[in-house]
Amino acid sequence: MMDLVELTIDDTQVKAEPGTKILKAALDAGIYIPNLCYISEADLPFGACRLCYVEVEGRGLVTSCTQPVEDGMVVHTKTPEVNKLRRTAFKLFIAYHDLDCRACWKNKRCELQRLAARVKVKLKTPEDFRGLPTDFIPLDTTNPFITYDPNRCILCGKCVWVCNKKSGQPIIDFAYRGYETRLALSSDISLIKEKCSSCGECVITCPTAALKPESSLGSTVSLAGGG
Amino acid sequence: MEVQAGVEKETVKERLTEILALCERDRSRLIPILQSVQDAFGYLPREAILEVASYLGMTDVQVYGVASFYNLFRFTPLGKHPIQMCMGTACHVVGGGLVLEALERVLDIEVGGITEDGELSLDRVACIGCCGLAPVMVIGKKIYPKMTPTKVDEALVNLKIETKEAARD
Ligand code: FES
Ligand code: FES
Repeated sequence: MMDLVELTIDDTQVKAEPGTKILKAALDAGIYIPNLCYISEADLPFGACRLCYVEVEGRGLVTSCTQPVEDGMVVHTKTPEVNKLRRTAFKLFIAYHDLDCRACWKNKRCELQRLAARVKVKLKTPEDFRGLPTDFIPLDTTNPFITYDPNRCILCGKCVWVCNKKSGQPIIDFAYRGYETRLALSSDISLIKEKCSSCGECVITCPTAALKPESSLGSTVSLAGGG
Repeated sequence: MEVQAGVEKETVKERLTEILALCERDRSRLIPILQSVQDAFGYLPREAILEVASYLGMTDVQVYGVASFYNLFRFTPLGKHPIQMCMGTACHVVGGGLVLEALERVLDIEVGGITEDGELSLDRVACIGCCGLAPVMVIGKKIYPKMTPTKVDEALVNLKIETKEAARD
């Protein structure tokens, strides 16, 4: 067994195997760092959500899901700078998110709601990002098992990863660019019906209400969804 | 959306086999392959995306994901007379947007679309290099300078007449 690395996270001594990312070391030690796109089993961190910022002494602000631990590292997870960055990242998520939570089927079981409380941001369109386009994008209902709601998708990439892992190849993937980025599920290039084995993993992993199981998805996925 | 002007499925298959035979079976060649497909058909037909994907051992969404990222690729065929409305800075400032809206209204299609008879397609382009004539519209190779929304109808009617005459000769 390799020698463990010792570091300090918020005044707690933490031991972790070399190569471990700060985020994992912290979570394992019971120190919570907000995160949204992190998948513990993934080899490569996706690093898209920018919620997991921490401050490493002598190095500044880094995303903890991408930064490996080092001996003697001193990490702070709650400095004012960190909180500010985190809040901005979170506001960007909800800036063009459909925030009619009461009408949402995932109300109260949504990761975004939980995080809003954690990072202390109100769930309403942030003043500073008012200018972003908020046109309603039609839902994708071409897959009989899953409905995709781009208005509630935060592009965390978890479903893409899970689908790739499950089926060896992504049947779900991103398409378009910039604000228009969303999942190419099936309406654009309809084949998911033939290739999708309706395992429901993508629905379970989705932190928001973007992927909704339809009743035809069957009992493999409880309609409670993930979260 | 079924587009009449689209290339027949069979023809796509045949041409594709020829194109792909010249291409290395390597994922890193995806974009050049898509380029030659578009050169051949004028757009990326759905069948072509599926074929290219299976040729490179990728899924179709992966290919679509890459193709949809670039403005270069289009998924609807070009009309016989492709209309391009300039949205460069100069044309934009003097009301190119209004002309574009008028075009959309008159043709009853959106930007990137094609009319049902396959005659006209509509695209927006950035500066075609004659800002002095702004706002500029281009149909095929002909330039329509100093466009206004009201000139749209006139231009389209003239185009129809010209095409008819050309067909008669
Ligand atoms: S968890 Fe680190 S960027 Fe999303
Ligand atoms: S901006 Fe239209 S021609 Fe230059």
